[in-house]
Amino acid sequence: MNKKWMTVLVTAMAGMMAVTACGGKGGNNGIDGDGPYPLSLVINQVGEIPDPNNPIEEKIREYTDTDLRIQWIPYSAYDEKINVMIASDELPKLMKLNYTPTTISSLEAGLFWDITSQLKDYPNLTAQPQPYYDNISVNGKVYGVPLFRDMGRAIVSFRKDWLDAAGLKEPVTLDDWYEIIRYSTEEDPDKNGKRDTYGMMLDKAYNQGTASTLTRLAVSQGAPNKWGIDEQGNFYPEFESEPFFDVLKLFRRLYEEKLINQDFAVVDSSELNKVYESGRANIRISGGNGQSLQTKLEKVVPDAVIDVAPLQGPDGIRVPGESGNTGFLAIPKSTVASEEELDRVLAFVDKLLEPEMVNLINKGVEGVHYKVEGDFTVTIDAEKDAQEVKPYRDSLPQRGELYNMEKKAKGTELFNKNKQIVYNNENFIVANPALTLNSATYNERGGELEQIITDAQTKFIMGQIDEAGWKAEVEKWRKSGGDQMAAEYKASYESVK
Amino acid sequence: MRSNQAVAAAGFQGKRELRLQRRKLLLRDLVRDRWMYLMLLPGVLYFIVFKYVPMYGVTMAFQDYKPYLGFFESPWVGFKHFERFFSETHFWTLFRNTIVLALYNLIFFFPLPIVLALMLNELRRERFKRFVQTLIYIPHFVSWVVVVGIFYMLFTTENGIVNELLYRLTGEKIAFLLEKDWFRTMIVSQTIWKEVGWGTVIFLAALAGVDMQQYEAARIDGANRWRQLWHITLPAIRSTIIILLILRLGNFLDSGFEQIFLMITPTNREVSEVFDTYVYTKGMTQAQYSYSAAVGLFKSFIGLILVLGSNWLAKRFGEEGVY
Repeated sequence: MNKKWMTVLVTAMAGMMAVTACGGKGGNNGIDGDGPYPLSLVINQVGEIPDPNNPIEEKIREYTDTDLRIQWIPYSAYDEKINVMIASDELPKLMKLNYTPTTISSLEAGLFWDITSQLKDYPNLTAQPQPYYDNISVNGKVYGVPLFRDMGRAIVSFRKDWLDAAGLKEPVTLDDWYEIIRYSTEEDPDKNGKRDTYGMMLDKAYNQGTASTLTRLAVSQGAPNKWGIDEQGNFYPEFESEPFFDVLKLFRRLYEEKLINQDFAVVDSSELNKVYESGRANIRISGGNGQSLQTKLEKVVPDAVIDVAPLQGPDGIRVPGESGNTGFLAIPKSTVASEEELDRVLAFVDKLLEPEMVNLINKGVEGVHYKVEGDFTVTIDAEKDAQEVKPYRDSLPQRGELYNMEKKAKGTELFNKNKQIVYNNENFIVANPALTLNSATYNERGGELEQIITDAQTKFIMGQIDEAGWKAEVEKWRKSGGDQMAAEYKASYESVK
Repeated sequence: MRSNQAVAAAGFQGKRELRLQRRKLLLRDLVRDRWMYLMLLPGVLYFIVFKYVPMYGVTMAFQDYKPYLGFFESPWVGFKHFERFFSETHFWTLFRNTIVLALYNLIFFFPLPIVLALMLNELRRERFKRFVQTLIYIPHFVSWVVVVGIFYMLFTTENGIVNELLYRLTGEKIAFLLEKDWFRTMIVSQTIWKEVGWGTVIFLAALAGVDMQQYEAARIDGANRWRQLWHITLPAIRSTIIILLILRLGNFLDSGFEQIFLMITPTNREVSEVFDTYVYTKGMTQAQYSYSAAVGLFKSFIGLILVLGSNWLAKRFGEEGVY
């Protein structure tokens, strides 16, 4: 080969390497410089990632005088991605954390700013009810601003047209639940001559986290919320309570009689939503608003009627108390170096709760996403709203019409009924006593322990293990650290009391 | 004594000269082939920067690694994580699941590309052969997520084609995706569907290199096709088979994370949880970095032993081995 060519080639290669080598960190972090403050923010992705230059985000930038850059991370990989970010020390200035053992240990290690004493300097942050902050505190310290959610969100939504036709009422006892589910699976409620409906469907997360259908239904029947405390002050897990086991047995029966979907252990919730939205399933317990189901369902089955009811059992309404947040915005010390800069970031969050921003985040831009009608606002196009406004509404701190919203959104009757039930639920909350208690075992192997039980529940419902088998799994859970966890919660509970 | 020293000195002298001369030669070669070496540089740098330097990270298996302390400040704990791993009740389950899956793949999957390549080799029409070859290696380019997705749709009990068919024929449905007895079958058949065509490529290349004159000679000697296959074709590709087998053993314990992770369900976990998925859950989702690094290191260690062992064996049997 020609020597000259070789030289050119080699130089080109060397050049390329030099170029790739100088990626690295850059940009200013300064608060001294002129112009808007550069603020990177990591939050959950909701639906599609919005264009960073859309009017809502531009308005937030303008109002808060920041150069806001949002990185959206999907729910399914959120905690994992956050762990990697923390491990590699590539953090933004503000990020959403979930209250998990891993984040708790990094909070304890001092990776994030403790803002307990600063909160009072920010009018909007300090105006929020204390329980919201209590539920994200670690050893009495607050490390962030919660993404507020109602504490008693669980409601029952069902096909009113189907229940009316069968002369059935909203469920109270487990027998009611059984009958509704049996009827809507077996007796062809959609009258198309085919057995293609389910009374109820579960997805693979049916027994996990705060939105666990098992927990919600069991609490309505009298079970504790995740953990109970007996007369001696000892902690016991929900699945050792009578009502919880009754619920488990109900689902076992439903599965055996093929009244619920047989593939529930592998189905994703998005698949499930499609079935509900296409009018082939009846009742479900959810944390959303029944109206959004109604809107989607109407397009497929025009005369379908959704109704909602509070979660109730023989003792009246009982709803599991949720943590009141879907995570919280925390500020890493490695990127926000000084107290002045911390002030800048907190001021940004505080501004998000001012009336103008509350409107923007909840409803979008007037004339584009909503219009004003007298004392109310009306969404112009639900689809556009879901695409362009929902990402911000779901992932930035706001309390809806409960704080700084000038005009209420005008909803349908169903929407308002649902909202009213959720507000009313606050009076019937069954709290999870272990929510903010400390347990070293939980931090170390909580995930593993939970898996033992959730797997056993699935196997029990599917009939792969019998009652003795279930007891054996519970025993295994106790031995693997469950008992220790209960003891640690008790100790922690008594030290706080 | 003295003479000995003298001899030694002379020898030393000689050696030194020899060494000097060698160095000169080496230098000359280096200068002569400088462009070649320069072109080698990016490759070498790549391995140093991206493969060897990160290896320092395995030290975290012997530390209580905390992200905010880093590799240099995290406390050393010796074999703590290994001890925890080996005493875990999980350990044997994981070990068994990994080994069984690996064996299944070795027994059911590994020979198939060879058989298929031999069959393709017997085809007379070149054009048809190429067509089939292309067709069967296309699945290799389909990602695992899609493959598993397709399997889900085919095998689910809710309107899956296979189960609908089964239901019409027998009145029963089989929960292929949930039953733990079906898990390994599903995994191996997915692997076969996806990778068998791709696996034939190397064998076909080896087959193309067989001297046609040997076949001619065999035919004159009266060998039929089977005899030709047995005495000419197979010996010709034997070393290829052995090398691929050794390489395969190196990855023996790599169960294919994506595929297994996507196929795990609560009801088949007893047979489906393998080292790879365990490392992932512990390390990524529960952030027990040191512990999962220890598990990963253990796995690599077994892999190393397998490679060394099989290479040694191959050499013992007069084959070439990988190095």
